Amino acid sequence: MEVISVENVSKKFILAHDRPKHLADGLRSLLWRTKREDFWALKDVSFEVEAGEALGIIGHNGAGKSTMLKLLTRIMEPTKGRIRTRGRVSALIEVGAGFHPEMTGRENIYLNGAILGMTRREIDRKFDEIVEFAELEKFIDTPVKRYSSGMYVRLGFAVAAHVQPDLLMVDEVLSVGDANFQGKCSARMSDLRHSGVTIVFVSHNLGYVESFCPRTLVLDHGQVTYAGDSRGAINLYLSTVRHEDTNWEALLPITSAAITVEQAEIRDGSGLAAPHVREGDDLVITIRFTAHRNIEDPCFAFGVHDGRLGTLCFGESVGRLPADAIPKGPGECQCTFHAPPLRPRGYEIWFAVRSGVPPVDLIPWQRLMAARLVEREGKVDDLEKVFAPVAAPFSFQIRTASTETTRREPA
Amino acid sequence: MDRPMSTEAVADWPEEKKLGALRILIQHRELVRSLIFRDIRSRYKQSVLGIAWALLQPLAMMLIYTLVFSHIVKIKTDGIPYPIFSYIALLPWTFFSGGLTTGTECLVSNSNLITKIYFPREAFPISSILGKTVDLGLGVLVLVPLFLVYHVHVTWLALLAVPVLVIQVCFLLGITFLVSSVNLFYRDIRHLVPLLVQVWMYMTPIIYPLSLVPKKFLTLYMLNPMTPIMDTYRRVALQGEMPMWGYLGLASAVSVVMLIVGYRVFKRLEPAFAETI
Repeated sequence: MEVISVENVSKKFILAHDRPKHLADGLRSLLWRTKREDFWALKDVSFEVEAGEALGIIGHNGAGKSTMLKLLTRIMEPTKGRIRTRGRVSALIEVGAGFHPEMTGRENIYLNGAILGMTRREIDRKFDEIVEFAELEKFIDTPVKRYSSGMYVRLGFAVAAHVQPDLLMVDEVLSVGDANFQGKCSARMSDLRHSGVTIVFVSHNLGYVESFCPRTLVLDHGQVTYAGDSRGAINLYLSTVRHEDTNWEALLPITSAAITVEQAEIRDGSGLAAPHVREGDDLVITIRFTAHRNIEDPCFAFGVHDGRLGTLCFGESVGRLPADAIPKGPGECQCTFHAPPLRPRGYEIWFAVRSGVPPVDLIPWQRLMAARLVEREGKVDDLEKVFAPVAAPFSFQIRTASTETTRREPA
Repeated sequence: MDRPMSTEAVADWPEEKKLGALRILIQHRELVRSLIFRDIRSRYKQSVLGIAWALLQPLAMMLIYTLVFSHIVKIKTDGIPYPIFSYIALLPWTFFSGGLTTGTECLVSNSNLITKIYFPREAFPISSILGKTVDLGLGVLVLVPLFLVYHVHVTWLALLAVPVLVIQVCFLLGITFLVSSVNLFYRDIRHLVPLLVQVWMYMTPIIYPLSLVPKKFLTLYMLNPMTPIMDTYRRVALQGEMPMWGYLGLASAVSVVMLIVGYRVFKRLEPAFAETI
């Protein structure tokens, strides 16, 4: 039995620049045609969700994911088409939206619960559970304006997660709180899923989408480009990302007085060029450069930063090459990290070029390109797995017109 | 506002039908109650006098008008002492003007909820108006000492004030549905309403008796639904007289029409709330 039915749904927005906000504007727009720009956030979208199913929706920013959720939760109405839902709809979209800062945590639980459609008796019954989940026993009678943002979000999530819905819409809320709380949130989601709640899940966390949702839709510029098993959806999505994410190439060339880096690429162990490397494969970073003069005591450094947190996961540099100098002219430097133990997600490759003793920056430590590590086929993502900066085994190779030097570090 | 071309409202099928305002009130009473509680809580939070402010406003107005109209300009009040004469009308008028002024903003000030969570939007005007009845109820308590001080002989007729209040609430709710939803599109309304309320007060027999209105304007004057409503409060509570049924009936009819029109405008604009606000 399907519990969500979306038939040929389109949603048009009128772009804000000329919407009349005042009567005078309104009158003017009656007399003269003002410029209006229509924007179709969704175009002819159709899909169905069966009872008890978990459906993922992925797509790049602006693809219409959030608009779709707003239509499903009835916050907005479609311009064309029809959406039907069966049962109580609840949403984890922006938790704590209904909180009033002057009211205490306790009062806000009742207020927010009522806003989310719970009865007073239901809230009474679940009150202790909610407080315990939010870990706010001590502060429950404090006005929420005194809460830290973490406490605020925890309370919001706790209330929303305890509504007993038939349909749950989730929009990227699992990125709130610390690692411990995130774990609790995922556990709660799994509980809800196992209790038969139908879930629509919008996220950029592809690993989570794949492990949580058997079926996934890909939205691209307001249209469904794929609907089917999540592995296929993610592969399709990643292939479009590769074409669209010109960001990492646009950074080049990086120039300084001594050296210009013209090209950079990242490959996996088998030599395939890909901004997304499969987990467990080698990460091969290659830059091609032109030295404008002889570079004495060259030193290249590469590092992998977590794209979301911005922290350095690991990095390595090589200096004091046997060649002692890179001659003027073209050259290439390749750094291989062997099987980096990282979680599948977006990363950034950073690098620097130095010269001399002690080293002086020719190109200071900066972002070179974006990389995406995807999950190895057939492997289930372990959500509890966290990583810390580690020393990854590596090897370096530098080629220039006259020399070739290789330095290997045993694993 | 663009009307959806071939759209059907997002609706639970098959159980849920279109809900009327009254059904919202019953089905979502928890929500309405919570919103009322929130409004009252936030209105008087961190103020020393707290909810006493609800009483101070009509009382202060009573004192000022008493000073002006019974000590400086002396106006005839059909033999009723001016303080009680004015208070009996100022109290429901404060409810009306306060309800309308905050009601105008009830959607705009809840934009975070409107864009994030779905529930019937009628809950905002309804809770905003019903919340004001709490203030009104407190003001009614002050009537008791005033009645004693001024030796008002209260008869059973005073109970007629209750159905009249219901009519007034219908009228107020109708206007609030209209202005709150239009205000969401054109913020001019929020500047217009206080001005309108001010003028409206002088067009209504609150600080002067109906008997002072020139006869030739009387019919026109009575078309304002607030006139028979205010006049009735005074008649039934202070004078023990019957209301002027004809005019009161007209006011009731206008109120009901206002409620229907206001609600329909509200429902017509509702689909565009979240994306316009």
